Amino acid sequence: MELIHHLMLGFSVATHPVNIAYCLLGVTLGTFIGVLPGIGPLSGVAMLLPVTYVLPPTAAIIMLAGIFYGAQYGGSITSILVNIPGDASAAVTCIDGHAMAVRGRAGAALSMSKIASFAGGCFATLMIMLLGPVLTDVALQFGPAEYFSLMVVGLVTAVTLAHGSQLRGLAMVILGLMLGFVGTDVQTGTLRFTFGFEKLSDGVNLVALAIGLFGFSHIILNMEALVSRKIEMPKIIGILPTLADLKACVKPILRGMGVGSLLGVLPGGGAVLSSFTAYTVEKRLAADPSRFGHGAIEGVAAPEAANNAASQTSFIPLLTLGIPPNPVIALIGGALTIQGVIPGPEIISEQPHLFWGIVASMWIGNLMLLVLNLPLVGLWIRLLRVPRGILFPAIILFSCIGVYSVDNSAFDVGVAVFFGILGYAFLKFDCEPGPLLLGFVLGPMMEQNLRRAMLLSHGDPTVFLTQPISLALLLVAGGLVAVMVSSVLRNGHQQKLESEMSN
Amino acid sequence: MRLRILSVQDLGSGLIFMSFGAIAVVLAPSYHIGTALRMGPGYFPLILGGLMVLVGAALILRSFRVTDPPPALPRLRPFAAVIAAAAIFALIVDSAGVVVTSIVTLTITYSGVRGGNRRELLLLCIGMTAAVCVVFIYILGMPLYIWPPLWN
Repeated sequence: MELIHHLMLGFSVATHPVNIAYCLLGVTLGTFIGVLPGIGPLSGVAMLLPVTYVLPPTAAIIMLAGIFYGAQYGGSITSILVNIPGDASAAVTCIDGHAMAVRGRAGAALSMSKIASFAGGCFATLMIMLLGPVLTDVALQFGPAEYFSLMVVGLVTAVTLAHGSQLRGLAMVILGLMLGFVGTDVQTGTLRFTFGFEKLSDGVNLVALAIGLFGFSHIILNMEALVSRKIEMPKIIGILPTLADLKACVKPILRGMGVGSLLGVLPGGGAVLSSFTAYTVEKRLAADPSRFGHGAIEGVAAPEAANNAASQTSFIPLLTLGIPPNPVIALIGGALTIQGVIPGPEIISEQPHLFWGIVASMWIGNLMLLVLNLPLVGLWIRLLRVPRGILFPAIILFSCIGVYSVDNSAFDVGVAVFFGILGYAFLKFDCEPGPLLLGFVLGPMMEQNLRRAMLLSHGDPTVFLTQPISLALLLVAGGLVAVMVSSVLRNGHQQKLESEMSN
Repeated sequence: MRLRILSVQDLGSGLIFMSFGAIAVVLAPSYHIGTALRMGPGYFPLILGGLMVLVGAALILRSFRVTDPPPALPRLRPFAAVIAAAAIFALIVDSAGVVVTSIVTLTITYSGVRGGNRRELLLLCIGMTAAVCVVFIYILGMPLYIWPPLWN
């Protein structure tokens, strides 16, 4: 009964004309960002963050969330039609999606990817509704020791799930934690690592860091690879999948939803990892794995269900625990903070219209995306004919203005330049920037909670082991470290896994 | 014995991580370090900085033992164009106004794209500059000059 009451509240908020309008704007921009190669939801959210400052918090988050899951819908269009991932999480959709397109089944691949995304989105929304209140109750029991241990688990998971070398992933987390020190120490007022820059006394700006590390560096990389050639596109005949297609995809979609919902909640998981994992699962379970790579429709359906589910369930930790599991959510959390809403368990109890409004808007947004993407797919395809050369300068300009407008500070644009250079070096050295950003966001929270826990326990470090929840969390972290170390010793299971995926 | 670098990735990232760690370790003592009971602002940075140096060193050592495929060679032009465009944006945006800043930023970035032409650049500048003025100045009301204020 309570759930129905909450849902009514949510839908009354989400169907407010203003919120509907921003939801539509968000999912449209999201699809746009997803279709365009070389710009992902992170750059998109960062660039549009300043636009949301003038909005009320609910409308702002509804729009930013729409950008995030909208990008999952749009990304598959480019993957299927031109074999370039429109979005990193749609990379795996290229494999079988494009193979289907080459065989003249582009229409079926497109519609199946949208149906799968829609199913994944609906399921994830349901998960948020059910899990949100439960996790909030748990989170309200948390003291500083529990929060500290939880963040340790989060960072360890992020390292475990990091792409490529885990030692480099660990280093990126530590560097992120250290960047979080920059600025004024909350407890003593001491200025740390500001190097004489007065503007750094509030810390490194999150948007500047994200735009530099992810936006600038990826655009440089994309410009390096850019070859001006005419994009060849297969003809689309018949948009609907056959009954046999639908039948073949029911189970893969269900499995994809499950994988995606689970990995979305995990720190360092998110849309990219979940689509790869869902693909691997399908290939393992298939009666005839050799069909994969040659246009197996399950290879399109499962990852698309997974990445959309993941992008939505990743809101759960933010809205209940106040901990962002991936960089895009970290930015959205930053947007909430700027709006004066502190992400955490208090949101559900104190601002129920915000929480349930966002949840309900996700359902509406997914419905909008289905309409936007299926009948109107031709419109998005036309977008692919825009010369890529003019795209990058436009993105750079918008990014600079986006960073500037957070604080009306040109200094922050300079900070973004610094992280752009650093981020480019990291990309060349195969260091994934995701864990760094997580460390940066969690660092200050961890330090606060550690120092507070130690004060409360009168300097007794065993407090982390005597509190049952904290102990359990640390055991999980320890277990993950053990698994990681043993797999490193067994010489690179990660590489094996990745080579399997790319086969 | 001559050491051979087998992984540019490990060596390069290791050097970066080690330098960041070294900065933290050198600067942390100038803040109050405190004790485990009452941690000062220098406590956490010192520990993590030390850890960072160790992990960086481990990566550097590993670069002589574990082989990675060599990374794609960087190309100077796109890198220089993007970085220069953003840096110049930061330097002039407060004084030159949005129109000049937009055109300069777009032109510099565009110079990093292979196979561009003047007509495309012109259209890009006109379209984007107009869009920026409308969206950010008129709709969002950002406190920026449109034209450079010549005699302020």
